[in-house]
Amino acid sequence: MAIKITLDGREVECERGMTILEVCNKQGIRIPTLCYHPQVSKTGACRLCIVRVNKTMFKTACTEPVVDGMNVISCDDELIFIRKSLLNLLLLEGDHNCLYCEANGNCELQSLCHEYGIEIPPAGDIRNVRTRDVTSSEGLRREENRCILCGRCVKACAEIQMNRVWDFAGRGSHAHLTTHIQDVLGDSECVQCGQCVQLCPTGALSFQTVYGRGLEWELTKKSSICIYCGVGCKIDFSINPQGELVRADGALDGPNKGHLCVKGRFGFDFVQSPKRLKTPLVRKNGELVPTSWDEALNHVADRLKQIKTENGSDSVMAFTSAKCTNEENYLLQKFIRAVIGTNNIDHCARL
Amino acid sequence: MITAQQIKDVLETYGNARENLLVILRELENMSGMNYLDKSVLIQVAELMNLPPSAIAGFVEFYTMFRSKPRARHVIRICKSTPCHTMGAISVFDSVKQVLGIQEGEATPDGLFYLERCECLGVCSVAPAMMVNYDLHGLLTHEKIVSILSSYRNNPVADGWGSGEEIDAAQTILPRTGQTIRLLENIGKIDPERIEDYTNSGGYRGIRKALSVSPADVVSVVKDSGLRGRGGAGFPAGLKWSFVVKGDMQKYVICNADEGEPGTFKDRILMEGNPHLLLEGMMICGYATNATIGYIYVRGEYRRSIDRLQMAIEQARASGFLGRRIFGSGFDFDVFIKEGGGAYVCGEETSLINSMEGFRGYPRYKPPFPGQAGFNNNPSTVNNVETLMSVPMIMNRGALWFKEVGTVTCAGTKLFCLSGKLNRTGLVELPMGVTLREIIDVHGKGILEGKAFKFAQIGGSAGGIVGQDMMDTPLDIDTLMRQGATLGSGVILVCDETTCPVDFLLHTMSFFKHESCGQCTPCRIGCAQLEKTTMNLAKRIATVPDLTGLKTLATLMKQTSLCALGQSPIMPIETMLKYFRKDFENHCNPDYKCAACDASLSRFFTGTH
Amino acid sequence: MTNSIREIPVSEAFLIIGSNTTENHPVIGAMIKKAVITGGKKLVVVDPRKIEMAKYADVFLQILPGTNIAILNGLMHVIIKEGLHDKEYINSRCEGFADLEKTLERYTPEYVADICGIDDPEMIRKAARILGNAKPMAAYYCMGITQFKSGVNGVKSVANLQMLLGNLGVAGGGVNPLRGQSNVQGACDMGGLPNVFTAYQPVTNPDARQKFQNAWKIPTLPEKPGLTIVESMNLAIEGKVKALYVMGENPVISDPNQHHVIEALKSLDFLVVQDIMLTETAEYADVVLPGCAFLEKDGTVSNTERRVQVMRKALNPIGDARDDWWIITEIARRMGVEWVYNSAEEIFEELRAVTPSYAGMTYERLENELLQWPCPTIGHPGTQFLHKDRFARGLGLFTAIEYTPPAEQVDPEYPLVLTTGRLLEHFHTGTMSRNSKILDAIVPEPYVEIFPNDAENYNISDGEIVSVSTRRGSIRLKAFVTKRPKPNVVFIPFHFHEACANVLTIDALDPLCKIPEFKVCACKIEKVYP
Ligand SMILES: Cc1cc2nc3c(=O)[nH]c(=O)nc-3n(C[C@H](O)[C@H](O)[C@H](O)COP(=O)(O)O)c2cc1C
Repeated sequence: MAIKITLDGREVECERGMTILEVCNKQGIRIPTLCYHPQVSKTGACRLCIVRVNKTMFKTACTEPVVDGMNVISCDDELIFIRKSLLNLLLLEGDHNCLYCEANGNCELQSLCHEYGIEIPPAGDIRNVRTRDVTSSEGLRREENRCILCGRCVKACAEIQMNRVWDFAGRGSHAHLTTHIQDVLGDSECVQCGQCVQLCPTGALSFQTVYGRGLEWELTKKSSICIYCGVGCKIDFSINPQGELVRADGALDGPNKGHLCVKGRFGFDFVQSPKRLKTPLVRKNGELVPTSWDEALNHVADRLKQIKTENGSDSVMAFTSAKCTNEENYLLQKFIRAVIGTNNIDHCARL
Repeated sequence: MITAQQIKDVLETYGNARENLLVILRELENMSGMNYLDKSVLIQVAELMNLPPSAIAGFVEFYTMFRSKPRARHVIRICKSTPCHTMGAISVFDSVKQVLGIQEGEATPDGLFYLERCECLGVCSVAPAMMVNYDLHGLLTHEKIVSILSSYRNNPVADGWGSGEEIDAAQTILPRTGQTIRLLENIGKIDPERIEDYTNSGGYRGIRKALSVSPADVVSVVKDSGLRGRGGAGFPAGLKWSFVVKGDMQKYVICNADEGEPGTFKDRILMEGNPHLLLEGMMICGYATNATIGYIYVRGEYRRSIDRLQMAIEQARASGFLGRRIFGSGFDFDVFIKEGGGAYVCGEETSLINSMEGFRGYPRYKPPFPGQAGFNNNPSTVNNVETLMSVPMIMNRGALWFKEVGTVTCAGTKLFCLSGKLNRTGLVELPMGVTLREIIDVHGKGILEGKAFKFAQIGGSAGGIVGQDMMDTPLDIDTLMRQGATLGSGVILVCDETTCPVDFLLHTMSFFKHESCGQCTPCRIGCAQLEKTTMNLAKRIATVPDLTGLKTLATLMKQTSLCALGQSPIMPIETMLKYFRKDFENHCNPDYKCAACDASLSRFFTGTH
Repeated sequence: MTNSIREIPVSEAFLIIGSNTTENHPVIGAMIKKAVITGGKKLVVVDPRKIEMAKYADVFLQILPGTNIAILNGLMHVIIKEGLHDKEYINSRCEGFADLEKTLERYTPEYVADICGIDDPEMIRKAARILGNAKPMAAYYCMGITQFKSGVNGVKSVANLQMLLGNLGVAGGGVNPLRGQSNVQGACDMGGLPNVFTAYQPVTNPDARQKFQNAWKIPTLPEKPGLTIVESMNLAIEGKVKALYVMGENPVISDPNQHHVIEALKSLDFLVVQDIMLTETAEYADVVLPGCAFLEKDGTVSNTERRVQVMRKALNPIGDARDDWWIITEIARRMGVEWVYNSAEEIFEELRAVTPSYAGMTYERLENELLQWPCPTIGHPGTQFLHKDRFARGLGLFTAIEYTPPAEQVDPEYPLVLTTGRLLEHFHTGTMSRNSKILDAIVPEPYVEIFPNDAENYNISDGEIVSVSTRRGSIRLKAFVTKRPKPNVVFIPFHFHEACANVLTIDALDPLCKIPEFKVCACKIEKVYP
């Protein structure tokens, strides 16, 4: 049911049950958020999305439902002061030095500090040293001194991967993340799907593959479809200037809706493995030796022609591939049927 | 070592649903003999309860009662909250340390005693106090400490029933002359362990009367009575009940008996002294809100309250007062107890619900309010013990009678918890709107040792400071609110001329830092920063602009914190600075001498806590 | 899959049979877990191993490998006995019910429990009630159904169950095979099978042949169905198959009875392997052609829910590697045909013209829309689930199927049942995953899972090297003592060439679709004395 609210002095229509944040997003009004992530449930913990409601009240836009006649101000001087103060508190609590952080350039905290014009970090020493665990897990790094306790990792694990590896422990200013009873990530039940890292707004959680392999702004993004199982997850790859794959993120518009498994996350080194074949090989005197494309292709064509002529079309067989594209599969079966003249084509659908 | 079979047995006894996690772990910690939960035990519990180990780890670290490192057979917890601190908690620490030869966080070599500090134990009228496992001891002196500790050398049991006599409910109530006795009527007169005593003195009549009218009528009567919440926020009870969503889903009545506000002990006296009255109040609330299950969330330290309530519940069930079709009506109702594990924030109603469900006591954002989605996401009415106990008499005697005393907007009587530097401390029941002067002079019999009054903290650590100028201000919810203070849970902690306001504020801020849950940004970091700045003041290394900084930060927290805990520190800060700005400015001078601050700093704020 | 991944939240219950979903299709596994854990949906898991999904199941039936048909018949027996079947649906949309009912008569829970090695027959009743009372219920399966000599019948049994319950042709229901590889669906759709052209147009159908002859501008096409992989291996040894062209496959590791496969490859006159690495199979090749890896090329792939997606080139090809389609085109041209293709998209345009279910798809549409085949025309929105209102053949056909035991039974010499499968971190023959640093670091070596009691019987301790043998061969690998397998059953993941599980497996085939019986054979396990 449609209701009306006043948003920054403008009357807008919205659906009952929407939150202020959802209405603002729809209206193209930017509200700063950290703990909010559309893929997981709401927390309302970072408080950054606070807006002014009915002149005197402050409400978190991510949790507050709109009601008919509500008057919302998304930003004013006091709200800017509040948001800036909250950011300053976060800076006070953690070790946020972008210089040596692999999230540099891909950090929501950094962007917001920039947007809210924070120049000199606040003074103070209330910092508690938290866990730095960058080796126990093969794929994930945890530098909790950069953690802002937004809880997105906890929810990513509990609501997307459904593994509940992360949780909060400690209390108050000693609150921190935990994975297992007093153990490091590598000893937990973590299956390294990496969803927590994908949702982490800072550099607290990152991938081993990212570390030291290029700065965010040097990376190019390209999407593809995962080559492993049949789910067909869409993946956004980050590629560094050397052409190396640095990071894989689940794309929201694929069947995976942003999620990936450990293979989709870390399974692509083989593409750039030194073991990749770089030239055609032909067996000469019992040995496979490099050769030119021309020679190799001519050789194949000649031998197939010969065998076809000598032994008949049905003496030739082709295995096509469940890892190749539709176009390639189509072409190979066309080749076997139309050029060789046999239906001897199969693939490992059953294996 | 606890065996796998023992763990299975405990799970069998309590049920392996997540909501039972807290009692299960408490039982296992007790069974350990060394008051701790071994990692191997936790892993087994996680597996048997089908919970992730991280959730168990996070749970154990949230509740202060639990430790995952061995402690000792007896854990001594010394209260350092403002009431006990005012009455000399420091010397208790000194004595215990001296007698046992250990420091905080250490165990005696014989494995008998382990020493730690804690926040308010709810026995503030007999401050300074400590708890040995579950036994509470107050009015501590060096000699008393020596004798208490030696008695434990031979006695391994400390389950709450070995508490000192001074803890007893009836003894805590001040002489009744001059009071308006309503809620306290039966306490000390009836045996709380006998249901007949309660019924013979008119008990369970209110519920019968309620059952003879419609639930809506009950809600109207409570609305008409003007009863407002006694837990701190003062929300009209009838109105809250009317907001509970209607429908076929299971609904709950939840009694908030977490009583953690430093200086508060009224709910303990009520529960220990007259447990059936609470059950009756909950039944009426259940009938009015169409709820068939009631939970009492009692802080884990209140063993005696828990035992008495359990006894009362069993007797009520046996008498057919709880269960199906109670009192021959069509209404079913039963009550169960949930325990807390040592976390002040769990008194906040949504944290309390999370805690009841077996989670860390993180508050939930509102809306939805508990009346819409509370325990297990079903509509739940959360009320304080005192609020619910006021209901039967309203049913019995009517709304008009209830309003006969009190002020126009705050009807009825209020329990006040007197502690601090008074000649007499304890519990009194007085009409809303009574003055501080009357409380101090008539009931407290004046300031201890004839010293001069300096200030009173009203409403607990989350409340404000009231000075001489407000001696004649009516103490009710609205008047105090207008004055920038709060009635809160009814704490009246009186401090004399010897109290250092900076030291006092430091203890208040350290309380908040300790009790902040850590979920939301402003409270988690703000509380730590407030304590830090206050500590700098106590150390006399702060500057005058820091005073503004305190206020600015606390204001930000007030505006932005997720729950009322983070919104609270502004009140003590602002009221303190209103009365004692001079003292604070003095502390900004490095050469200023302050023995109170020095003593606190050297005892409590040495390491990283 | 007859239905779609995004329908998971719509299902009221799930039957997972023969699929270790959280390891082999982790993203779908997580979605089902979410539906069960937070959505409160019901779950029945049938598997020989106590897989992770079993933890969340309302009923977990741990059956002996190779007894799927018995358990499915047992479930259907109870459903009919208790009147939980959808009579209306059966009457109006299906045929052959009477035969099915008759066949099921003897599959009482007691009888079935005995075959399947389930202690308590009541569990079967309980599972049947869960499945029968929740609507829609979705059945998910994987190689645990198909990789048996009775694989086709296993699939038909799942279809029987779903028709019996009226769960076919409805959102949130369906028979949902989880395809193991990224484009198995597409390879089948594209006619990468011996008996069909694209979109399953039979080579035996003259009209279909005529259509392709016209499209490909050639006078004739062979009408006799071709050979399957396993058949071709046998014929290679017999000398009847002389040349083999392998594109992106590694039969030495992936096919059953490795010794036999190697013998076949060695018997060939000419072997071409087109791949990204020098695989174990390529070692036997006469010519090896370096193809592009998936990130180096454009093209489309079709996932398990029939959704066609475009992949775009993200990296430049390594070395002198070339597009697979370019390689095939070049060979064809050198054999005298005039093929001209400049891009993958051009090939797609050609193939959609002869493939009715892909006819409405273009690269442009695929990049902007979610399209699942059948999508016959440009205006068509694609098909979220199949068999809505009517089945392809008209009425849904129940097939009465009897349980038959696996080809190889345990005996005193080979007293244990061996079953094979995959791991979360690895894939198929390991060519990709074992060459990915992090995946290889997580699970660097092969192992055999063995139940604690069995381990004790054979005096084997956790982590020690053991030998596992069958009538076909023997491998050495580490023992992992765990309660995941059933007693008397051992499990070996098949990704590892250094202890190749397919040295052990049997090449008994399903008579119809020729799938090998990877999932069950008899074996023995022995301590290795240094
Ligand atoms: C940090 C915090 C602690 C609280 N502790 C208590 C408590 O111990 N007992 C209580 O009754 N209410 C406590 N409250 C208030 C409750 O949130 C809630 O308002 C109360 O239980 C409602 O009951 P009432 O309306 O009967 O007062 C606390 C609130 C906060 C924010």
